[in-house]
Amino acid sequence: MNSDCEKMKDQIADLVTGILSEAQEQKLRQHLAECSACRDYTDALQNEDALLTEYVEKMDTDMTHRQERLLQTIDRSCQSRGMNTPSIRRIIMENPMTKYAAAAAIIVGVVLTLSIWDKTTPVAYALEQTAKASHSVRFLHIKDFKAGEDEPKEFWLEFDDQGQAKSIRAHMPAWESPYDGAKEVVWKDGKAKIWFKKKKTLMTIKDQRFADKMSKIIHLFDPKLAVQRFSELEKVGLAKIEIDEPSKKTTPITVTATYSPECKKFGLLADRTVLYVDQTTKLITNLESYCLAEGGDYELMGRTGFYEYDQKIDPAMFVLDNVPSDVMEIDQTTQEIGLEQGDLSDEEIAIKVVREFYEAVIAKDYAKAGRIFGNIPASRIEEKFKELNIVRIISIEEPQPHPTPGVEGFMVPCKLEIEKDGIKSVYEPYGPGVRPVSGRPNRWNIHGGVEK
Amino acid sequence: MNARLDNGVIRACQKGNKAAFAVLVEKHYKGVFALCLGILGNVHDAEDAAQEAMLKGFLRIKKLKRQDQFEWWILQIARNHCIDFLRRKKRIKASGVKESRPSGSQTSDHDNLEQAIKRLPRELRVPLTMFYFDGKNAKTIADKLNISHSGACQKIRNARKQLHELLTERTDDEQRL
Repeated sequence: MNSDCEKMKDQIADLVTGILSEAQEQKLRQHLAECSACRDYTDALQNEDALLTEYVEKMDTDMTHRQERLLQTIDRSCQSRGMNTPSIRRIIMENPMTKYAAAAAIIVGVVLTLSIWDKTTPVAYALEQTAKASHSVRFLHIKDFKAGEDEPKEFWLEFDDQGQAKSIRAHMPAWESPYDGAKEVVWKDGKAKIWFKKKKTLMTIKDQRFADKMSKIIHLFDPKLAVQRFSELEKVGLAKIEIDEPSKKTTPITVTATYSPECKKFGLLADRTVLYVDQTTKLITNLESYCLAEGGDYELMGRTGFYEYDQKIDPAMFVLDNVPSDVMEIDQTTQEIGLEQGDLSDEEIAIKVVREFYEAVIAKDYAKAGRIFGNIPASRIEEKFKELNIVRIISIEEPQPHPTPGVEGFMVPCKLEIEKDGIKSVYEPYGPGVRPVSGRPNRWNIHGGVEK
Repeated sequence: MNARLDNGVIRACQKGNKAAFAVLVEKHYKGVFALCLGILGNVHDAEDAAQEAMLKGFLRIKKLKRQDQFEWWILQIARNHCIDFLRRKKRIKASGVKESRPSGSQTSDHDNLEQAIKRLPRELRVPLTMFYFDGKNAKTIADKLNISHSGACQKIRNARKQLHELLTERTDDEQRL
């Protein structure tokens, strides 16, 4: 093993642990083909890797028992403190995994379709009627109220002949995302237009992740899917359904679904849902969600109201035409945004994005800087940076994971030199924040924090 | 389960829903155990510490203000518990109480590996243990330890190299005997 081989040890360790980039791996493979000492070192590390994996797997098999012991300890601790709730060990451990898989499919809701509903035997008269009545609905207006908030989320939906959402208009109040502020969203023909009112920005995107997010929202609010979910959960023993059909025809039928706690694993946050069904139309008028509070009481989390069933929504509703003329328009569907990652690591591309952005600003190439900064128009970049007069990049530091929970990517601290009235000084922007372009994971762009 | 759904489960725990805490146990216990094993270097001590840390988490969950930081919060509880444990152990050692060691002349590959892992410096042992428990995902380890991705990769790389030296050092010694 010569001095070159010593340097290769790092790459061999990375290869074995699976953190070596493809380009480096190719070079290393060439070296390994010629060097028996490095091949031996690789074999030894691979054997140790297998041993480590086996060692961890062995411990992993005991993990369920460890968790069970912990849950028993928690139960004992609750009993000694006089907390009178059922044993969590019993709740969790008694249910077979098959139920979990079924619950995941039902709650996540991607697998089940109306065709499945049609093939199953109806378990409850009222539920089946509601499903049938809802199936022919083409237009729907929904208001979703959250406990403690006055302003609801609001949706206008148009369905196609197959019952799939065709066009959506959504009003999202500021409480839903305090950082972005209130938003108006229109989703049509696979494209979304989002008007960020606080940020005075109109963004057009064509992003599968956004489309998936929208379909999940629809899944939660679509009344025909709600009744279908109830029935399927009951079949696998994960929900108890109680139906109350009052004799007075003006009083709505109530359908109460109380969920088994393991439904939470698959993202169902409520412990109980109550549907109110109109006796004449058999359509849902309200849906209430409850969570189980200390002492066994059910506490209201939110209420969804279904209005104006099948009243044709004016097509103009699915066009954002009330946006003020001074908004900044960012169309991510027509232009390339950010920089291509290629073979670079995430940290390397984050540094490159920041460097090329400020180099473009220094060179007054505002169009390029704008493309790197989420496709912001050149005029807006010029407006931001002309006065600041950045003359030089002093340093760009190691990227750090973005400190805001839920925000992808990095913060890349850097120091810039600015000049004003012949005096030079150091300027440190707040970020900048760098992350993959929405829907384009191999391209990275700046999303904010370019100023103090 | 994503962070938003996790938040809902945590809110349910804060309202006294014990079953919801079982969901958190299933999701986070392994990570807490891996951290404890990394700090303490001993499976039995790690088991005890992970149990204690999760129980503390359950009893204090109402005090957690930012639900989206549960993972960071529970790992901090576990880390502090392990450090306290090591301090207490040091005091016991200083007062002359001898630690019991496993007896028997036969040592398996796993025993050798466990001993070698124990001899790694703690700053390498923690990321290495968490890396293998977390399905070899360096980015997750970086997030959990609040270090950069490249920093996590460097620690894992150095840990693997040092572990190899420790394992082969033992073999060389045995061959000399």
